[in-house]
Amino acid sequence: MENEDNNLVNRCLNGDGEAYSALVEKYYKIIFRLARKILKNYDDAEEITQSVFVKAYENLKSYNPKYKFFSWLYRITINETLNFSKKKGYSEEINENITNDEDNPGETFDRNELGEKIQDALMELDMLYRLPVVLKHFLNYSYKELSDLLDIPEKTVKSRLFTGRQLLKDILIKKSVLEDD
Amino acid sequence: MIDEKYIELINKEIDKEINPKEKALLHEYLNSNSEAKNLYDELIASENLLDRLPDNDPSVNLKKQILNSLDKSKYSRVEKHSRFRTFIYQTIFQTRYKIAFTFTLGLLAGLFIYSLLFNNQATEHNNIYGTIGINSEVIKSIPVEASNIGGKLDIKWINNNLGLDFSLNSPEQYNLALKFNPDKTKFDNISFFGKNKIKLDSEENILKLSESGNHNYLLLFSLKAEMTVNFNLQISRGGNIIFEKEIVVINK
Repeated sequence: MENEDNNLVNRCLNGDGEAYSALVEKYYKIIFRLARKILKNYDDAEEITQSVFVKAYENLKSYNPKYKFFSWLYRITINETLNFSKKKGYSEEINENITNDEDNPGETFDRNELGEKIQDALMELDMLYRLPVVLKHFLNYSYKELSDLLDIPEKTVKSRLFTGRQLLKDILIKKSVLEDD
Repeated sequence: MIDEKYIELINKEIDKEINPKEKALLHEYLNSNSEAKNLYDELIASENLLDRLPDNDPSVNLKKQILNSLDKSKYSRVEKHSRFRTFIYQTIFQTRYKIAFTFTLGLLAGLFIYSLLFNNQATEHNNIYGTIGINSEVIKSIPVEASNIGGKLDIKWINNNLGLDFSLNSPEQYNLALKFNPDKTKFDNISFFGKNKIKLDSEENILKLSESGNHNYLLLFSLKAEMTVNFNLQISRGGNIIFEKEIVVINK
């Protein structure tokens, strides 16, 4: 797969427009889903996805084939997401809009509702913790890989993961998504 | 109260970064500490809930939007190079291009060899060019004025040949006869200037033509090393001579 991606990158750099189209086809859903787990808004996730592929295209010459292409895309996704959040004051806005579910303690959720509740809980987490929690869970990266991707020391990765996980658990309990023993 | 060390081990287990020895130590501790066990269960449950997050798909237009927002010309310079490489590849390896390429190459090589071989004859080319006018020298211009005919006869040297250059205009038919001594001169050829061809009767010592209208023609003679050459020019119409001239040219 790596060779295939590198081959497509080389073809694109040599002027084959179809090659980049193949890379977009291969990864745009994955990048969108990742962005969607980090950002509450569907349209924002699409905007980030588009921005990621444009940035990647513009900087294709700087891609180092020693690394996996999708790891490079993830790194761009993280950077774009962080920049986007800073620009929009994203987490504050979300926090204000989240409803307090303590008012409905007896509510039962169907699968979609449950998913949305978990998504809301995740969005309540500060971006500082949300990113390592989401990336660790969905990409299954090692501490070392997360350290490289987020450009923070491994020790900080662990600390943010542990704190983020604890905070998420508390939010889920507060929202009655998770039962408190 | 939970020891910090075991909180780290709980997280390491969730992160699948725990080793067997640490795992055994953690579970021994969990069995002996209900508060730690409770935290462990909640964190595991919380982590598992993340799998219930919906996996939304992007809109159907997203891929198109992405591709439309790319600067297609960014790598086009390279693309041109690639097209050039393709052209070279086709030229060398594909039969029809190979034939065209070989033919063109052969033509160029032929022109090159020709230019090398005949380079020294450039002067002769100039001479050829000169014979049709550049090196000509008018010796005498004789007006031809008679009944219903007008014009002139220019006698000129064209390199080492003698040219009689007629420009005559006559609405009616006229007959021209030019006598010369074949021992002293030899008629070479006639050149026409204009659309109408001239029909010339050439005998050993006389040239005859019959024309009407506006004509310009050059009669070219080569000389046989004599000092003087004589011509007798007669223009007649209906059996009557309307113009006659004796021409004597001194050979230079």
